[in-house]
Amino acid sequence: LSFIFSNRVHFMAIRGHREILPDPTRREALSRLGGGFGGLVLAALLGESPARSDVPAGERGRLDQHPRPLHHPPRAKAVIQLFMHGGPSHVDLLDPKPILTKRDGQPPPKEVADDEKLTGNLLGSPYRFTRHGESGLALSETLPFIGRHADDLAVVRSMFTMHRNHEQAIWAMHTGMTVAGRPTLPAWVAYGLGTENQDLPAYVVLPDLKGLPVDGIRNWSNGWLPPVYQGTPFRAEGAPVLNLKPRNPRPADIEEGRLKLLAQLNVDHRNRHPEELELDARIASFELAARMQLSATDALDLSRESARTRALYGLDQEVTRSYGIRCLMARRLVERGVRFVQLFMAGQPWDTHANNAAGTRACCEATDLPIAGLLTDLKQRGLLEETLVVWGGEFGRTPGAQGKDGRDHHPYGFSVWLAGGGIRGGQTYGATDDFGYHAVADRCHVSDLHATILHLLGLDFQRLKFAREGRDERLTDVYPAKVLKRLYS
Amino acid sequence: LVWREVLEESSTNGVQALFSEGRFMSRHGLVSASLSLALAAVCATGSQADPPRFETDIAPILRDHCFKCHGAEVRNGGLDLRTVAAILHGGDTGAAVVPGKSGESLIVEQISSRAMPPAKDAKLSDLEVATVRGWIDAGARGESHVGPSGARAATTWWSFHPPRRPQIPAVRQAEQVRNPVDAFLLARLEAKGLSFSPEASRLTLLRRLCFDFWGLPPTPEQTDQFLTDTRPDAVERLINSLLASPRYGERWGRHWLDVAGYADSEGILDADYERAAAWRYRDYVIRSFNADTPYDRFLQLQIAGDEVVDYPAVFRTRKTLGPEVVEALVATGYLRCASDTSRPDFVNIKNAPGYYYQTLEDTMKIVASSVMGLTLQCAKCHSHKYDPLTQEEYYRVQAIFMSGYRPAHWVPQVERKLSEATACQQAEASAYNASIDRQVAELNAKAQALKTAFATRLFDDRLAKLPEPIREDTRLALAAKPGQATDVQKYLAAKFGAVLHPPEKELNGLLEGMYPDYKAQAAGIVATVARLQSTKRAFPEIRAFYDLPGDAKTPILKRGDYTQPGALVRPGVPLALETAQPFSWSPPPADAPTSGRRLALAKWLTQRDHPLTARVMVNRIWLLHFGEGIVSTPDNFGRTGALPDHPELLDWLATEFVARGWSVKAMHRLILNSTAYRQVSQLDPSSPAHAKAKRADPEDRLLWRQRMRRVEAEVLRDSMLAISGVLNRRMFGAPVSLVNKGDGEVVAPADASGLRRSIYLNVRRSQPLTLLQSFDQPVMETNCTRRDVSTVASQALNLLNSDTSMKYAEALARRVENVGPESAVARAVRLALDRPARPAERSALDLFLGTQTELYARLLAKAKSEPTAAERQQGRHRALTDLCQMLLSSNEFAYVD
Repeated sequence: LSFIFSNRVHFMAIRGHREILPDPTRREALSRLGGGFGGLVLAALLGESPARSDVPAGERGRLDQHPRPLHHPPRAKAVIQLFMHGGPSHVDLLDPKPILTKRDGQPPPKEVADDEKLTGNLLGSPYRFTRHGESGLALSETLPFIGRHADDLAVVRSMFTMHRNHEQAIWAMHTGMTVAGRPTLPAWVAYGLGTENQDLPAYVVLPDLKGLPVDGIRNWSNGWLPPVYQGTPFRAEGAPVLNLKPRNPRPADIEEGRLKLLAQLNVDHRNRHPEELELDARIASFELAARMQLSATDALDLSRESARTRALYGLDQEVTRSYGIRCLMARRLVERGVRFVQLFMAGQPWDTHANNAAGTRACCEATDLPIAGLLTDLKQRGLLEETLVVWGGEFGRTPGAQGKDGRDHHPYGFSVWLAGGGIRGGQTYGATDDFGYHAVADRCHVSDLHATILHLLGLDFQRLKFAREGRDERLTDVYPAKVLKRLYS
Repeated sequence: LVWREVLEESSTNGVQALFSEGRFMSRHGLVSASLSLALAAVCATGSQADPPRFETDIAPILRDHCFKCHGAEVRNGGLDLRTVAAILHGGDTGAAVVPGKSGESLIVEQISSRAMPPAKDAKLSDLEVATVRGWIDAGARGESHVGPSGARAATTWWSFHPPRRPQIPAVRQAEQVRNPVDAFLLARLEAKGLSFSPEASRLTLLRRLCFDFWGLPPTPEQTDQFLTDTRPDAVERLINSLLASPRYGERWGRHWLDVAGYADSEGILDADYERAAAWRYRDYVIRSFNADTPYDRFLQLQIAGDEVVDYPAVFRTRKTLGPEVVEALVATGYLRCASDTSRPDFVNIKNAPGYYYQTLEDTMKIVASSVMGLTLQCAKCHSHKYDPLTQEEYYRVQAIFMSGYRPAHWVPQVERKLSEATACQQAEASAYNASIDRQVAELNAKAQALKTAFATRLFDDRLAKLPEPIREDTRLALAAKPGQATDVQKYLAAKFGAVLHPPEKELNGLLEGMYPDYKAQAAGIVATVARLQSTKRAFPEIRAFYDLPGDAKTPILKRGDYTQPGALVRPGVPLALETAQPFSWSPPPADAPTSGRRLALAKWLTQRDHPLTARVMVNRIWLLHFGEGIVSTPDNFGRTGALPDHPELLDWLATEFVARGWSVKAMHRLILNSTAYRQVSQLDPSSPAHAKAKRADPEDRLLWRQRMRRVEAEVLRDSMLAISGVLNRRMFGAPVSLVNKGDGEVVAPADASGLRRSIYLNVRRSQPLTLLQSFDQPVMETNCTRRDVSTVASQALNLLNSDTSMKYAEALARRVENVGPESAVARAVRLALDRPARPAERSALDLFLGTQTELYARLLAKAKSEPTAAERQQGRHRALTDLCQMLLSSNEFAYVD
């Protein structure tokens, strides 16, 4: 155990740096540990799958998050999802509709009138749109920094979803259906791919310290997948993981004494219970917990970042610091082999029922610079090629005004953008009608987006299955999803 | 074999000869279900004229023979045979089927010429080919065709027929047989040349029994008593005493609450509204298990308690409801467990019925999965792809619950409640409360008059203090009508208005300060009002399920979509389930206060020979005592579920359960007094018998040894509390509210209520107790028919570092410090693990305590060279706390042998 503590760095596979010791040395060093531990544990430490005969086939997936074979060669190895709770206004950010400005205050034509009559006359965008980059991608003036990456972005303008309430639409975006209790996209990815760094969870979520996003912990639920695929929330301050350290930290020798005693008790117990693999797994979980104390702390130690990098993410400015810290954390996690990182904002700040102009602008001001910083940083470290960045909320907002100056929920047409991970930048995909109401060209269902993300990661949405209650479950369920090939080819 | 009986029964229809064509499933040696269903097609009792159905008759044949190459993943020739639409669409060579013309259908050409399935794959039998032909000739209809009402969808699937009492098999090692349970198991073991393992030690048995029945470890006193009890029936006595304790209901009530999907909040929306009175159902369940309420009665009350006790009549005619009626109403809380976030303002939103239908559908899923072992939900959008359950039948079952859950006339959850009172009590109470309201109104008027009077006095008193020359002018200025005031008057009003006429909200305080008289009189009135208000009559709320007035119309929903209602259906149940008594219901008179639909379901479900009710429950009891069910999918006894490992045993237990008056405790006694239950769970590497058994049955399906099990989340927490000596044993009542610490951790409150058993903690769906959640406490989206056992690092972090775990460890340390002659270490081990410390272990623990004490003492001494005695003592306490915490984190603590 002292080895684990003092030589922690040897276990870490930092992508792009590859500082792992040559295998023989590592194996030899580990063998010092091996005496008291089960073969499974040793194998786990070596990053190897357990011997095939040790674990029944059906159980193997339940015990670990080891990398698993892919369905096809991947374009992306990791995903950073910037989830925008509340539903950002597509017509004010990514999908310019000059006709709204022209007919501002006039009643909408019948075919784009709000079917629930909650909104009335058309509302022109309060912002100007500008063209960016060689591609000339049009983005709102409130996204000046992201605009610098226009040639890396693919904006899908023809998204649509199945519900216009937050919770159901959030479930649809996260889990593929408008019912609660299913596994989220990242949980499926962790289940399907495992992860590269066994000292960190495969699926990490970064909520705002100010509070949980709407729908709380369900945002990172494993549903009925094994709990090892649940999202682990990391905090931006203090101990990154719940109970990672005791309230009053213990000196290393005391900590070591405790863990050694526990190991002694457990080894003795295991020797009296031959061939009970669950016991080995539990021993391994305590060892992982001990390793995480270092790996998680290290992963989130932003003090190691240069002042320049910190400024790149906006850590030096009050308005951008909170989101910037999480963007920087996301890069450090992905760099260390975490498979899927989700960033959340507190509550649902994009839900601009009233005063859309100010609300949307405030959200942009808090996130535009940090997101641009993340893209820049990923790119300069060569990580953007294999890291897919996905930006979007659960739906868009109505072209008509709610009250005087607000916009209501809008599921029939909205936008998301993707970058990196094999995405061909500088393009738009699909379109809404002139008013931004219905997705009309190359319509993209949430399941299509899911299928595409899985595809980029090397997974086939039709083959990624989990048997449950006599049925093979899939992220896309029975939706006839399609992979949006044009996004990456 | 039950299987043979089913087939022999079929043979009366003259198809015995076909038996030889059946394929055999290798693992269980059971006849292939495809044969069963093919048989069903021709020997459908009493409905020879009915054409084969796609879902029940054709799809299984195609699945067994064709899906491999024409299904989800592979589609040779572009052909997908999974749905009628796909079959009609056909593949590269055109439609596979011409409806009505089997002779012209490609598929028939292929299968009857034996060209397909290709090569060495098993060909279709003549009967199967005939069935496919029959289906095509009848029009090749599929999912949307729900068949004529009343037609029995025949099936030979085992779980759709009543359990038959099998003969108890003879065994060679009769001395191993304590009761028939052993005979059934041993017969199968002996057939493989195996036998039971030796009996577990007394101590192991004690722990196993305590955890099974109480979810708590034995106390040292219990241990001493049991280990010194030399009577031959000591184990039986222990079982009886454990069953007689109220702790039993808390443990087994929790199991039932899992399958019922119990929660104290409404779910769905982010707000996750709290449920006020749900806990009374939780208490009902605990009491019912403690009282050993017969399971048939238990179900009847939960599904139709109001109708069983004729609540509407009692409500109208009696003075009080009485405890029996109250209990029956509380029991229907079972049907109120599903998420239901409906609010009064939902009537305005477009998709409100979506929310309502979800509650209705979840309720059906809970009933079907917990009581019937059916995946009925699969028949919501189309007929079940595997089991003989049609879409129409799904909506017939829905019609039963539509009596109370009616999306067309929804009652928001906050308003859907009964009060614990009769009509007479309610009338009396409202008359009384009205009189109180009148008195209160009079008193309030009096208070107002008093205030007005004193306000005038204040005006006069303050006016009198103004200089004489402007007094009258000011009075007039304030009395002047707006708009008619002169400039001088406006000035005076602005200057003195607020002083002379203080704002209403400040007035009371001012008057109280200035006039003791006023203060006393006003206080008197307020006190009287409060006293009167407190005498108002209110009745406790019951979160019950009850029928709404009027006729509940239930449409079939096309593709399960509520915006596409189809034909109306009457209440009913799946016809393929063979029961002596059919589901019997006829529409009540128009003015009947309740429809009787649920009572009809309850009666149908709890008839003696129901194919599923008793089987599903005994399987659940078995699962909870052996860690695995006889059917390993407790919520699915259909074709996609697992087959029973011991079908005869399951049926024997099911019939025995009914014969013993549906007594759950009787089943515990029966199962736990078996040799099988009492075996060791550990594998003995030196035992040739074990080596042989491991080869023959590596997964222990035949039960040649017991199974080691990890304790559930609640048991882990409750045991930590018990061992630390701080468990608060208070039973029942409103749930203990939890505390969200703000860093994401949810903990129990710091006071004594936070030390209660986990079953009494608030089950807020969105805010589970972190400790319980990390150890696989189910998230109640609908219900949980089987707990997961996961092993993840967050569990270890919680045990090693959380304040909660530290607190329990410290309590244990205090409990073992400085008591009696026994050393603290020895006592800690005895309490935590129910056994004396082994010598080697003892020295390791002593060594740890010594080393760790020294480290802590030096830490406390800081720069000083030598720690003081007090520092050493404190260091020892911390070291002992560490030791206790490691014991509570150990595998031995978390696993039961």
